Amino acid sequence: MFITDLLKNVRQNFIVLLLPFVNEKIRTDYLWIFLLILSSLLLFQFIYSYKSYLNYQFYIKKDALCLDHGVFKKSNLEIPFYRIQNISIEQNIIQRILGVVGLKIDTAGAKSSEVRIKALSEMMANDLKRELVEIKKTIDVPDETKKNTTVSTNQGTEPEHVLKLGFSQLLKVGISSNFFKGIGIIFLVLTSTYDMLSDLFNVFYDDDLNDELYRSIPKTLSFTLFMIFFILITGFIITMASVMFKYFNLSILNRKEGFQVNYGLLKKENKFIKRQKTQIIERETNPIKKFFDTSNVYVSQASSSRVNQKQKIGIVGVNDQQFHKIFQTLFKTDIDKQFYVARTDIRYLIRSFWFQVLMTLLFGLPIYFFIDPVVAFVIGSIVFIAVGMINYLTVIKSYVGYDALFLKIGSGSIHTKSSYIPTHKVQSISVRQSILQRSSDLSDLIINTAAGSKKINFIPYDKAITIMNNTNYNLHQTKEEWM
Amino acid sequence: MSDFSNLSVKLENIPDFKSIELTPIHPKFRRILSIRYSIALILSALVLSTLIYYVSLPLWSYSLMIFVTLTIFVLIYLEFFEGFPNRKFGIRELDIIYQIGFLVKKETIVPFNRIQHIEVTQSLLLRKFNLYSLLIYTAGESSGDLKIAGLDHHTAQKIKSKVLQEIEDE
Repeated sequence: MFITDLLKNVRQNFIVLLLPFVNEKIRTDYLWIFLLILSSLLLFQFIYSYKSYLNYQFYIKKDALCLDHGVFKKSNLEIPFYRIQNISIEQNIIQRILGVVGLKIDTAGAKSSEVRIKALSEMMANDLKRELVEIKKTIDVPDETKKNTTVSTNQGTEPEHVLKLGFSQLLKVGISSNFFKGIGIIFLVLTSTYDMLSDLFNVFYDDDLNDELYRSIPKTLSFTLFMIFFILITGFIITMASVMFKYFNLSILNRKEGFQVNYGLLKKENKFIKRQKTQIIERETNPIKKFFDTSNVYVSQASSSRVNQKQKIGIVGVNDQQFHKIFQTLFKTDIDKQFYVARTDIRYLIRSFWFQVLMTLLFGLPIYFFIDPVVAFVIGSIVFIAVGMINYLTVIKSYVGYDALFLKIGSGSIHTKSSYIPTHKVQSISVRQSILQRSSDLSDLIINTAAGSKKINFIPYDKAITIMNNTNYNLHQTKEEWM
Repeated sequence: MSDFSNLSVKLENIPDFKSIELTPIHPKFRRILSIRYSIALILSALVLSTLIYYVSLPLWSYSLMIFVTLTIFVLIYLEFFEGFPNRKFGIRELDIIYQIGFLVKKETIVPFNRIQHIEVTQSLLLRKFNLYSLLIYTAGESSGDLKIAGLDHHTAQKIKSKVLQEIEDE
């Protein structure tokens, strides 16, 4: 506990500590003073961490979990059992090395919605979790009996596996994942090393380098091509590896209240998808994924803060049948439905056209000035066409479907994403129309849920109104709670 | 999900929120908007003139700055004063409707049974004119929340008690 805390604090302050090194003058003149400050800070950090370790205590009271912590400002946190929504156990790499696990307790509604106990022995964490779940059960009795009438299938038996990802499937997931992210990382590394190297070289040969550069332009071209190829390949490998590390040994267990999701090689994650709390289910595929019959599924749960991509619970390697199973368990109904569909109008391309032009200029202009006008023209047109294609696909794949029980929202460009929101989980719904859209009778529809909002651009105004009316009508009719 | 027998409801029978008459907010709120507008205008003019006086930049950059600022103020003018008649709200049996905006007109429906809590507030400027703002919170991030500014005391309290009553009835 103490060591993890220390490591984390040091990591957080690391960049601040490095700052003075940037300036050379400071580096030479004030090195001693700086080192002194650094060591005293470290010492202070050490004492602080130790003290905070001593002060960090938790215990179980009659109807609440209590947590004491703080060094200068001591605080006592009390979490009533009925407020606890989720308990998850996780383990990152530092925690693995130290042989401890972290326990995360999610509560509903409150502003600071989660409590983390950073280091516990695995046995202790499991005990505590079991204890809390046990207590919670006794509290929820009336609720529980109600649910038992609907779900009484797997009682007393081992929890059933909905999905268990083997290595070959994991490989498929790795291959089919979007490797642009990996490429982004490489670009970052490359540009920063390039900056560093050119800085270094500039000190020695100031003028020579420029001459050298002009003479070797033909070479540079083939070098560029090689680099592009290299970047693509490494990006692919890095992405594949990181995805495979992350989702190693993924398994989904069917529990009474939802699903338990476990995965991870370096950082073990143990998450719980609660049926009541689930608001949006998203499924993402791309052509390669379709070929392998796998897809990514993201589950968004109710949260008081913004739900970003990271907070969604992601499940990879899900095939059609498994998706149906997950969907059915979480929303208690089938997926195959007839939707009343409103599609994004093709005029949305006019708006995205400016982005297309911007991207083209961004790639084209530097090449035009620094390398070659012809190359600039070629690359510029390639970028123009590529971005245009992506924009076109974005429009084609964007729609909203309405049905008495569900809203289905399509999005994506190269990949395809469908999000499902049960109408009774919608919080509020708006339609937006800019002055430019007014003349063509188009509008944007915004659907707000407890797990973030979804926006569908440029759909016909009358259809948006119809969807709004119908969803609203269902909201009044339903007796289902959103959570 | 046997509660849903509403699949058979004809589309015409579903109430259309566009068909009800909306109530405009209090006309005095227009004066508040003009005060806010003038303050912003004076402040920007001050900032720009100090900049021009003390910092020497090429002439074109000044013209650009002034042009951009003026454009922004024209847009805000349209949004505030052309859009003022658009600021309307409506209460139905089961939900509350609010519309706002000129350049981008937005219409929102919040059903009573999704409201988490409701707040009546009054900023300094609003207090001068004895007006109130009504804040309606739904679950989740703030994008689904509703703020109706410029209601008189009576209306704000009436809506609040109506909503509270609906929440309690559930």
